[in-house]
Amino acid sequence: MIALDKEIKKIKKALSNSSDVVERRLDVGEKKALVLYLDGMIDVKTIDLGLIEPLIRRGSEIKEHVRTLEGIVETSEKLEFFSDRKSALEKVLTGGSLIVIDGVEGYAVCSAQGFMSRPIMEPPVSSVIKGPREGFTESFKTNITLIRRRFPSSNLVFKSFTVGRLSRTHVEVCYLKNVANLKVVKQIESKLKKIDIDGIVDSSYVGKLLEDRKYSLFKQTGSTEKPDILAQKLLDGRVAIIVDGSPTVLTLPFLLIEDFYDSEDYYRRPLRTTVIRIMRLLGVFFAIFLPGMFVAFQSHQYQLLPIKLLVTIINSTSGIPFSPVTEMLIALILFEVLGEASVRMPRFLGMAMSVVGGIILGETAVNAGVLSSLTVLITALSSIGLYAIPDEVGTFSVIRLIYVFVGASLGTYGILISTIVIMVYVVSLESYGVPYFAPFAPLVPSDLKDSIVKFSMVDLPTRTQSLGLKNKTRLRYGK
Amino acid sequence: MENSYITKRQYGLIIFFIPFVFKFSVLPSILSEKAARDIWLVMLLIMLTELAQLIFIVKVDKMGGLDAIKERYGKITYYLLSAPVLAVMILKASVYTSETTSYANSYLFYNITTQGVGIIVILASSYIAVKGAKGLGRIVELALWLVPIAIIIGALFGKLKLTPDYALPIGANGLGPIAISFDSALFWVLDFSPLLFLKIREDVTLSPRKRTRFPWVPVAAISSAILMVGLYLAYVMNYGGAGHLVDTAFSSLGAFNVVNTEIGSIDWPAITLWLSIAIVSLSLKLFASSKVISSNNVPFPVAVLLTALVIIVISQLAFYNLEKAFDFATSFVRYVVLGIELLVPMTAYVLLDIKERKHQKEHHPLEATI
Repeated sequence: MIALDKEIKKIKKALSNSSDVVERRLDVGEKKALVLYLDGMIDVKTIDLGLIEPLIRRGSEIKEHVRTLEGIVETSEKLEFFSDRKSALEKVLTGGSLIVIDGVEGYAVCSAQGFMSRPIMEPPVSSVIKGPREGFTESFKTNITLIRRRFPSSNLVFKSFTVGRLSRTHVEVCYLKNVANLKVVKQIESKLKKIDIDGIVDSSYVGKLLEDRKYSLFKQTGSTEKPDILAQKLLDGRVAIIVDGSPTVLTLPFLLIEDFYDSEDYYRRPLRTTVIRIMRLLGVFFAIFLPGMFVAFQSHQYQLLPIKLLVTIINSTSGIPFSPVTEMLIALILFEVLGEASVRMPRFLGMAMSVVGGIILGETAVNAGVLSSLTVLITALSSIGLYAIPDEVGTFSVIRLIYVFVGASLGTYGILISTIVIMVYVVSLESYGVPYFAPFAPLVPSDLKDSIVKFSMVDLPTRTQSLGLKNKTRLRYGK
Repeated sequence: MENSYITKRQYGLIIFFIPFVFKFSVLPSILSEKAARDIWLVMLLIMLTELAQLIFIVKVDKMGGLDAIKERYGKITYYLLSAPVLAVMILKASVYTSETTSYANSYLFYNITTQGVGIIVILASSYIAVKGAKGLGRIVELALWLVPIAIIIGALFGKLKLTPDYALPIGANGLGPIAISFDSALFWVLDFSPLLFLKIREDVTLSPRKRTRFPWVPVAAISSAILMVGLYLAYVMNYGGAGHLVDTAFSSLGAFNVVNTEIGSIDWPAITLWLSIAIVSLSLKLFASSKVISSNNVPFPVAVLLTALVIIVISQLAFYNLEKAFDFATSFVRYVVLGIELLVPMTAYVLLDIKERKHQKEHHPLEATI
């Protein structure tokens, strides 16, 4: 049986006498009761009307165990019962309201969370012209609801995990049980259970802990901030990992080709989508190869250039005090710094600084003879091309730097060899048993219909074969 | 799972690509010296010989490759067969590295040492070899995409000028020059020995119905042979009997090489394709050689490194220029190499077949008699 006064002292000590702890002492019938919560974490109205008021009104009905509250509390929020203080306080720390009654055994927690969170809005990096505009938020409950609305089916499964010794972050694993590869689900769950870290701040923490190659340049988890994209991935047999506090939902297994897709690809006409995907590929190609090749041609293989272009380059670079590689590195670093600064600077300065940085700096650098106009042009083209695939900007920008160094030292030969080595690395990667570079290597002919080219949805009756799913059929034709 | 397994399709693609590499660099001019316009007949003879070797190798691989020899006959028999193959692969890799270096230098580099070029090729090949059969198989599938690109660029911008009269009359000089040419090219014949160290598995990305339907291996082997003979015929129709005067002749043919565009002449189609597949071919030899060394409880990456070091040393010290490599390859060593390349697969096949028949008799006596 609980002695309330002593219990209050123990609870306060367990919560480190934190100043955001709110105590409400009540008289419930002949007994004394305590309702305890963290300020700002609960829905005050629900607690007042659904918990406190019924407790006061019907307190005489409370018996020896706190479970009798089930018939008294008038709220549809979850009501949980615990025999130990520690488990109950864990719930309080995530937004629950603790109910302790003098002389009554057990602890009750009502999960009427009411903390403020960002409203559902379009994600900033996934703007679309056509298609849904909802985006995930930092609240995992909202995110679960957004997914559940798209699959009112008992096949949609959510499994909860708590990760982080101090942060106690709520992580949900979500999949369609009649579609996903259950071996992959088990592997993910097993890895989540093994995570022993002090805190999880964002889903990227979980992503890195679920990856096999920690230092790989290439990411091994997919991610999205859009429920419609996640729905497509779930239908394709992937497993989603929702992390409380992060609007980015992870998906596994991951194929590199996924980042070449856009949500609108599935809402546009297939031919238009094919053209756009080819443009993206070209954008990435230019972004990665252009700076390195330019340096390689200038440094080693100028004989490959026609005379007219060679004269243009010579005229452009005459008087520049730096070697081609130094010049290119200066330009690339300048653009990288500009990019970082534009993301972090205050919004009201952003436009002005972008003009200053992008136009004036570049023009001044050329006029001052520090950089050649061709170098600035190529760097600008390359930097813009990187954003054809926003999710791979980090990876491709490092690769283009590698190519600049290789092009300077070994010319086009070095770039070719580097490309071969990088391609070998990429084709050898696997994400939970799925080849990373499928459907190109290994060649999976049926998956090529939705790779760079995009066939009509009607001609894509099967799911992604590379994932090794048992339930392969997506589209059936009526007889 | 041990990293020696590839799918049937990848196996077929390796068979398709292997002949296209080192038979296109110095070999055309070597053959042209003696056989002149009949080099395509020499190539026909070469491809028939290679198909004969391939038949034994495929049969051995279906029974488990040379690893099956180790399992069924023990390590001594395995080493008796694999050691000569190891020596041959290392020698061939050293000569081919020298050829690759010369080719890359003549097209891409005028102002860099050949040592650097050669070492980089071996290092890149070593990296692929370390990735094992899985990496090799997948990179070969990726290389397949380069073929239509090269063909399209060649078709759009090619400057091939074929004069069928150059190839006539067929066999005008008799069998003698053809035989002499074939004899001088023996070192470059029979490159399929590394396949003895690969095993074939089912392609799980295909449905069971599709997995066994397409005959990848015979299609790849025969189409490779036809293409090789066809390309040599095209060579003759372009150069006639003067092919031996043109260094790296194939790469100079407009259809395969030069892309004239608004931004300049780019030798990319031939060089990209050739160098990529040359590196894959070298890495296959490195992989196979390392498999033999690693069977002595040496970690596989260490075995690859050791093999690479040996090849670098031999190619840099013994074959530091193309003439040295060429002299070695056309010396008596070519007969030893040919002998090993022919006898080892045949011997392995016979040994494994004996065990298979014995196994059939013991466990399935009825089927064994049918």
